[in-house]
Amino acid sequence: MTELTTVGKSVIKVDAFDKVTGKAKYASEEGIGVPGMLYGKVLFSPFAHAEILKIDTSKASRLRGVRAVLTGKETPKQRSGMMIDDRHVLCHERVRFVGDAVAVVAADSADAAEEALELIEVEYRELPALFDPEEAMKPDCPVILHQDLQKYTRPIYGYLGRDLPGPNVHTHHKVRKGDVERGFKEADLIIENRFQNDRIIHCQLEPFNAVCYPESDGSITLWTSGRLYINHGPLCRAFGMPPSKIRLRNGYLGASFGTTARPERFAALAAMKTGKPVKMVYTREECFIDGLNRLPKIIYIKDGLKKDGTIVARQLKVIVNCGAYADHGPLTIRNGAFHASQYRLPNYKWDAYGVYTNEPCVGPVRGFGSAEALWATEQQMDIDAEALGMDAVEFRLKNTVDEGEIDVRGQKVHSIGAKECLRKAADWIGLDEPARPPEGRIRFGKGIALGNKYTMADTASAAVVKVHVDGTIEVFHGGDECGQGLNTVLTQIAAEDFRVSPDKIKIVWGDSARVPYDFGSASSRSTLYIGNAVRLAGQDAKRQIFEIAGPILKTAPGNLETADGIVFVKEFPEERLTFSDLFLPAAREARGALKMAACLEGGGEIIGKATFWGHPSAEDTETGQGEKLAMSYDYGVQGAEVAVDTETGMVKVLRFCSAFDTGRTINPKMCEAQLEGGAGMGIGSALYEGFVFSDKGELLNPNLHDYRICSTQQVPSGEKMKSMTVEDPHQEGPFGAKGIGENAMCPTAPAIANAIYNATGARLTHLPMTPERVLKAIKEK
Amino acid sequence: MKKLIELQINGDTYEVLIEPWWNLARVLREQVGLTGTKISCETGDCGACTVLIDGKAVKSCLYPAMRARGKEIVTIEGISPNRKDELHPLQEAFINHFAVQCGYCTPGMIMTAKALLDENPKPTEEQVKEYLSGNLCRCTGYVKIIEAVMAAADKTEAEV
Repeated sequence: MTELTTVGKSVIKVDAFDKVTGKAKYASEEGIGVPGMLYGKVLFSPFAHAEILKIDTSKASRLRGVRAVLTGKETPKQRSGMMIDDRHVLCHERVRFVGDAVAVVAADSADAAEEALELIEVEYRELPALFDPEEAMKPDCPVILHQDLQKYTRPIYGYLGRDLPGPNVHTHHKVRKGDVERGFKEADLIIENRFQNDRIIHCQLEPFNAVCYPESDGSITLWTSGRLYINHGPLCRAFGMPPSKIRLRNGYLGASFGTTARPERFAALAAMKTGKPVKMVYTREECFIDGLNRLPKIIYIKDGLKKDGTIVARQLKVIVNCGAYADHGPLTIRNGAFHASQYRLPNYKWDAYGVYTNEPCVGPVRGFGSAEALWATEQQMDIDAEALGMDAVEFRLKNTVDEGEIDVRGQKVHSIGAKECLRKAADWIGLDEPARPPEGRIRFGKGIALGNKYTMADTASAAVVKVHVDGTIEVFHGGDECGQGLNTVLTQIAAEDFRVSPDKIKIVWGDSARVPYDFGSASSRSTLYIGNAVRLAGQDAKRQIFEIAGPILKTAPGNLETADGIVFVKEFPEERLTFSDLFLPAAREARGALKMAACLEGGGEIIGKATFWGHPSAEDTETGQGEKLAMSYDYGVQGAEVAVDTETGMVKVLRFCSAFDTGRTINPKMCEAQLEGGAGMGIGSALYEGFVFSDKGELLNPNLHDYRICSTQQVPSGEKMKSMTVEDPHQEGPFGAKGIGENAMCPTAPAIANAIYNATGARLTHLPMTPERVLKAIKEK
Repeated sequence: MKKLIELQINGDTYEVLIEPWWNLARVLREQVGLTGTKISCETGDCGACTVLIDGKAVKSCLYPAMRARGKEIVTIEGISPNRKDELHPLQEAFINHFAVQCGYCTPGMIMTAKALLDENPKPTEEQVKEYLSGNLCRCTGYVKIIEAVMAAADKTEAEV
């Protein structure tokens, strides 16, 4: 391979200028100053579980400036959902959590819409509510949330709806390998534990918002602050509209991390009913209530160990409190089983259940199923090691799989830099060195954890590459620029393949009417999938260039190459054409002038297109086994040094490191930035963040004051934060690259928990590790 | 009842018709069209709406627009040295140090950092962290933001 000129370099982010100058356009900016714009607000249920007896909207409708007050009656009859069709756009006869959407108001001003909400009169009859998933999943649970569960359709992964142990259980996912009972019999030592985590939420800084314009042909143009194609399908299904009728658009996202809510539905509903454009902006509180949050799991784990440090059996029972509607829950539960790919587990059994309760709905949060599982398993690894009298790193190294082995899901292991990551992180954090002596009530400790995050195999990306007469390469993709740097990565990849400088690349994204299909920026997949699609589309465009240039240069297309906007004969580089020479003379003369003639001699344009599809294998629905269920895994180790105040329970992270296997780093500084950001979010999730509910299911901390994310004060910086990469190229990655975004926070919480244990001897089993829980654990140890 | 008021923003005078309870962030974005100022929490917790009022960093979501009459307001759109395409040293440092991810906190972060450097041109890392602690960022873990502010401070000082 020739030397890379752009890939592997810290190219400046293509969107940075717009973002530091305030020019960058987010969905929030859409619709400002548009005459006739209506503003929408949603009425959310105050009860966790209740029957709607009557809704009187007459007073609200009469308020000056109010143009529509809509209730369940005005919404489609069919239920829909991401995985299970269990939800109406607005509630019909029942509310199932505090925050279930009951009505939508559209008015001339946001103030009027808000005032109207208070005038809607709803008569409820409260019903007994379920909050404890272990109670809710019992076969004889007296409260049933969805009487029609058995009748609901499941658009994807329907097999997750079999062998359900109770009427409120909607998902059961299994993995079986070897014989776990035999494994336990062979074991010298059995270790059993229970772990648990609370709900967390993304807190992307841009609040959820949407703007909907009704079009004259009955279609709608809908702006979203969320992701493009991930929302497009579910929106079409919610309204029973074909994909061509909903033109979905987004701009820069004020971050994602998987965040999803429903303002698009409400804006669309109101716009279609009134025939007027509607803008809907959530308050921060509404972001907490309507946004999908990270699954609270209860995990029972049982390991069988040999004295020599081999894990012979592992069994997991996972109970997930999925809240009132299934949404992304079933997929997150199923994908959670990918978390175990880094270890050799000859006998393995996993049963994960998704349970309806009267709490908010769950969905994708950075780490999609893996982070919460690793919270349990990566502490268990430390507990196992200690019980065996082994070092935590040595124990992990002994059980970590190598290239070519078959992992716990039946997939051949490939591109695994886990062992090197383990050594690097342990070395930097100084795991071998003696702990810093206590200072009064302050105890110090260190810990590590090894995480992995899969990228799904059953997805696809398409891309279009258009070559302009002035030599600009325009790349159209359907992914999302959430700040992770996708547009920069794709710029680098296209620049590399066309051997041009990055400023010759122009990225077009964020409009379902203009960009090709993509699964979307999820599953740490964008670099790998969209990167490949762009490479393939670029090859298609180059093939066309060479076919046009061949006859002119009197050589076979295969003898041609391109760089810097020039097509040349490989053997005789002085025989050359510019891209503009390929076009009609009028176009050649134009060269950036205003003449419109970007047409080829033979007609048409140079447009390459391609799809990259993951070619997944089927999953055995009884054993969870398959040869290619994941496209790739990125492995990473984090190390933390903490100070624990044994009197207050406060924990401070003093030093922190990440060592991750990127396959191939496309942009080192952006990669570092992802790892630092993941650490910041991970530290927040470990120590401070968690939903707190009243006993009636009301969320008590739906704001950034009571729900604390890290500020500069909680995250190590400068010399105290270190990011390292390992490169074990992936055979299917573009230039060998894999994703990294999600795993960047997957091992954080267990690494910190292991450090707290190292400092105090107290084992924290319930996430987040608040001062109260730390003190309790210290007292009970 | 709406009121017509005058505001001095980035050296220009604007006449805006507003309800007396509207906060400055809303007026900047919706009445004046300066959408570089972001709204995220409207409770003063995140700092995305930070602007300078008479040189001090202020969370404009908590600041009534009426109170800004007669004061000098500076937003992210107003810190370019040539008031056009030239970048302020902080903007340049944020770009070069990869301190920008989603960018939603960036304008507020830069405005707070500007207030700091105007007050204290050579802050220590701890002082930077302390001063920026009211500006939340969910993407970066702050490491590169702090780096960028330190670098801009170095550069500003070198120029003096």
